[in-house]
Amino acid sequence: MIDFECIVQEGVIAADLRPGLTTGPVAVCTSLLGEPAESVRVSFTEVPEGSGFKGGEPSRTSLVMGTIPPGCESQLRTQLLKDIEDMWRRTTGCAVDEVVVAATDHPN
Amino acid sequence: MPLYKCHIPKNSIPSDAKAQIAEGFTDVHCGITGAPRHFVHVMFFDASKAGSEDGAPYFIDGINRAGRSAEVKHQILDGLKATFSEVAGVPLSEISGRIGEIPASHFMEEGVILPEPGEEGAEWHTVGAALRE
Repeated sequence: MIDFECIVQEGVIAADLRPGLTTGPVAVCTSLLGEPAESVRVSFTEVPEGSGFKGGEPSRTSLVMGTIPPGCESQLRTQLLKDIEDMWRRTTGCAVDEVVVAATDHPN
Repeated sequence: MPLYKCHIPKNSIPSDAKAQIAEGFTDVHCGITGAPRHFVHVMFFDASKAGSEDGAPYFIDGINRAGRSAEVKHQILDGLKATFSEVAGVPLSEISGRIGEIPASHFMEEGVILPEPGEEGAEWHTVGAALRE
């Protein structure tokens, strides 16, 4: 199972963008990792307005926090991170410092 | 990274105090580790039940890059709890927390794979600087 939790700041990511942001990680994982689409789960957690900060200032940053099967080779993991970051920026139009992507090993 | 998620009882902390806590957490983390301030993420979530497994109503759930000593992580967590307690007026006994670790190479932030703790070059402090000017 692959899980991505997308932590977004309230009011920053329009609701109509979410379908594209949901299918994006699925497409990247099926393409790069060869995983079936049904094994990739994407969820959203919204940080309430006035409750998210970066560097002590109000934040607009989204955090796309994923767990993938253990044993992913370094270069492949980097490509996965880059592809998901690109997808997120392309879909939302956010700046490069407004998205963090993680793909860590699933604890099993 | 780092990321500090604070799970708090619903409506227990006003917005201005959240901002003060976030700034305090940033001071603590950067003061101990030397990390650039703009990498520190702090967020607050209302919890409908006790925020921690040990029953404390306030829970700080941190994620750092792996590789720091247990002593440094204790120092960070103690600093966070003290800051939270002071700003929110909550006794330390009601605040629990942990700092989990994830390898730096598993993160991409501001378009780059994060360096391991202690392996940050001079460029680490300027990543994304142009974006913020």
